[in-house]
Amino acid sequence: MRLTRTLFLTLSLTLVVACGDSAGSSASAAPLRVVTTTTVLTDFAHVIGGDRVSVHGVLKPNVDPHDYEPSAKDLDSMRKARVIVMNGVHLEPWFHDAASASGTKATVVDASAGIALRAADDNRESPEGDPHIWHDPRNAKRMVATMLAAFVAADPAGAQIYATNAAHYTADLDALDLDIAAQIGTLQNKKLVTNHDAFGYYVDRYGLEFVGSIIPSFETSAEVSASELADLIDEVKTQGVKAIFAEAALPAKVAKTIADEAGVKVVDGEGALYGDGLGPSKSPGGTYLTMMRHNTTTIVDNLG
Amino acid sequence: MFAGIRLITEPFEPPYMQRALIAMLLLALLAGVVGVVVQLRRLAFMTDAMTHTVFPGVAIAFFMGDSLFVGALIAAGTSAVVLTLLARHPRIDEDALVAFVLATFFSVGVIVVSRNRTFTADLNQLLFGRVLTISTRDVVEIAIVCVLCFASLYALRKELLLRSFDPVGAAALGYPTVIIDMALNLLIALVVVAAVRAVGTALVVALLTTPAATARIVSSRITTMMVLSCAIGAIGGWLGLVISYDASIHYDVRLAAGATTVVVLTVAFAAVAVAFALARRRHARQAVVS
Amino acid sequence: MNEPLLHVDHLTVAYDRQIVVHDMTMQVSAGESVALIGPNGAGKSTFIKSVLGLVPIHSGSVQVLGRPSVDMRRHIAYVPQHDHLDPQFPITVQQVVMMGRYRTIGWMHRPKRQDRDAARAALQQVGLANRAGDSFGSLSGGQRQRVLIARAIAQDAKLLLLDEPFNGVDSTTQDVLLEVLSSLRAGGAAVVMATHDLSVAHLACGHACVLNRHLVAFGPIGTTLGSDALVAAYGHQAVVLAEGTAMIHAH
Repeated sequence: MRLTRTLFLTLSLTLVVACGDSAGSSASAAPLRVVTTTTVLTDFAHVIGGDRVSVHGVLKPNVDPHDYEPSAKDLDSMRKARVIVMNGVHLEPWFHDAASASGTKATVVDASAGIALRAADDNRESPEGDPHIWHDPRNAKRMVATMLAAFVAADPAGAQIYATNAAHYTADLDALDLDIAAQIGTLQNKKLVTNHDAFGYYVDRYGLEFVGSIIPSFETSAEVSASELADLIDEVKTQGVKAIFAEAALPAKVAKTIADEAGVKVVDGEGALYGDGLGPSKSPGGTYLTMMRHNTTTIVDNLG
Repeated sequence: MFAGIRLITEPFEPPYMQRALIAMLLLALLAGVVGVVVQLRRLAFMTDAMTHTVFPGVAIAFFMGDSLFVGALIAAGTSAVVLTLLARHPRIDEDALVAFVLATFFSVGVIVVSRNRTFTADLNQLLFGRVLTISTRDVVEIAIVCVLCFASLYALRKELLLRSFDPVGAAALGYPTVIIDMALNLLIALVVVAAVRAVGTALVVALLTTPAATARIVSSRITTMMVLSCAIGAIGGWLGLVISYDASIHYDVRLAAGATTVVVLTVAFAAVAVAFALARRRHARQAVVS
Repeated sequence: MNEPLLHVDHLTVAYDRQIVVHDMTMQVSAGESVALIGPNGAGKSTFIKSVLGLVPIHSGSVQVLGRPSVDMRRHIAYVPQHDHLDPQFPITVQQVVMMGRYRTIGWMHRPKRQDRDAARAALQQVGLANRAGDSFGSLSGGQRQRVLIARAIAQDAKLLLLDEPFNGVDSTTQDVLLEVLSSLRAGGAAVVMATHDLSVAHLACGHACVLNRHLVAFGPIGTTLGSDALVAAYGHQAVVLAEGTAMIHAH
């Protein structure tokens, strides 16, 4: 059975090679196996690697990166991978156990390398800082660069292709950055209230005013505290916040309650923000670029 | 046929699956033997209570970053002592008392866990285990508990038998039944501790009760019951791993290994119960006819 | 018989805040057997339990061979009613009888040759040697009672306490029981047997102790089980037949 399986694999690979592909890169060897943790990293890996890589994204859209139990498939993919990319900054507490259990020999890349981290205001359980680094496109560029280096090191033959892809994408990220800055610049009222503390880097980069969040934590599975909620409602009323933003991945019930109490608009459902990662592929948040644009448009439309 | 063999061997190629399998087999052995004793002592409810009372100790150990094992051991020991002593008070309804203690301990555990804001993942892990990321050290710890438990059970087998069969007689002969009860409760607590990493505190009750209950239907000799109980638990654990691995790798469906094992064991129990009930009915009918 | 084997001295036992046995005094010597007689709630079981240390003593004392009974439990064999034990429990006849030897064997040790011999001999004495490997539950009620007696025989105790051993047993068992009790007495053991069956009491025992929370009467069976004592114990349940004799009506 092993023989037949190997034959079949070789045959299909040969076919793929023979047909070539529209992107112009020819995979003459087996694809570089990459495992990524977050949806954002998965997107970056596909962009940089194109058809030269085979990417297994561990976290699926709308899955809390903290509250995740790796499956057999995840461990198996890690075991077989050559490069594993993780977000770092303690976003994936399950990662190290999973990596060591899988017995992987892959290069593990911490995408947060070289990025200036925001500290937590009162760092209870996040002494390393705010892990939502990707919300600033300049950080995204850094992450792409880190990943590029890793791909090239693992697959020098593809260096040219990876570099070209990365360069194109970096240009896209620059354009994105300018775009967002311009849009946010049009706002008079820049007071932002979100579901949880995911947008720190975005707020810092574009000069928004962060009033607070419903769950003042970097993790969405944290519990809402009654006193903190009351404080937030007061702040919302005093500071004249125009709208509260829920998150696409989370139920909007709590946001609604506060909106009612404080008498402000709540933005939820399809129009909500993407805080912890990307949305499903067909959704407005399906890729990094579309996700960032969607968040920006939503904020500008509702605060403008 | 080859596909069948592949099903048996393929899941256990990766080292993490081998560790998971060894852990589950050891636990099946441990829970199989202790489970029979639990059955004989009618301690199923107490065992359930134990799994809840061990929880806060496990939670505390988890957050202090100590070995889960040590914290769980301390909690297990405390809860075993508390439950044993309280259960002996003649005026308090034992079931109500045990229920009260277990709810309290469990709530304490949840409070401990919830002080950390991100508690759902942690709670998940403590209640249901993470068998795939079990380390070699965890496996060794389980093996040590196995040896400890078996040695203790073997040493105390006469006294446990007497205490289970004729508690009044045991007391009448002058046995300090408190000590015997405490010893058994400590052993049960140890099993919970050993199992926490693999199947979590919530599911270990199933490991302790279902295989033993199934074995009881088939046999009424203690040694046979123990062997059967271990075998059933082992097959359940192995099947649970195989099914959840297969589902994940080939169908991208998530089935937690621990929970799958419990379902397999329950199905086995139901199948055996029905089979024996039917056989009994057929026998009775034949007897009437002849 | 001089030094009493069992000496009960002004014993008062409280259970659940109520006095159940009040100021009881009696003694039993080696080779004697006492029928403990009284209606339900008279304190027969409580008395037996207090000797065994299963309920605490309020005041007074119970001594066996000159020492507190709770220190002498190795030498006291308790025979419960057969239906107090679960017949579904997976245990063999042999295992039950061996339990009588546990104190001799000791914690953590295994039964030795002499223990196995004693158990076999005890089973033989009750006529169930051929059932040694069978499950306890597969025996009839009477046979199970005999197994429990065998357990007590195997223990080689000085004092036997039996709780209504003749209740609901077949005639074979009754015969075996009477024989065993007689042979144990001949061997120097003392027997205290709770019963409500007066005819059995007459057959098996030389003495009677009539209880109704307090000691109503104690002495040789012939004289003690007179109508006065029974009326005092059983009240309207006692039916006086003729001068000096009575029987107990309905249970």
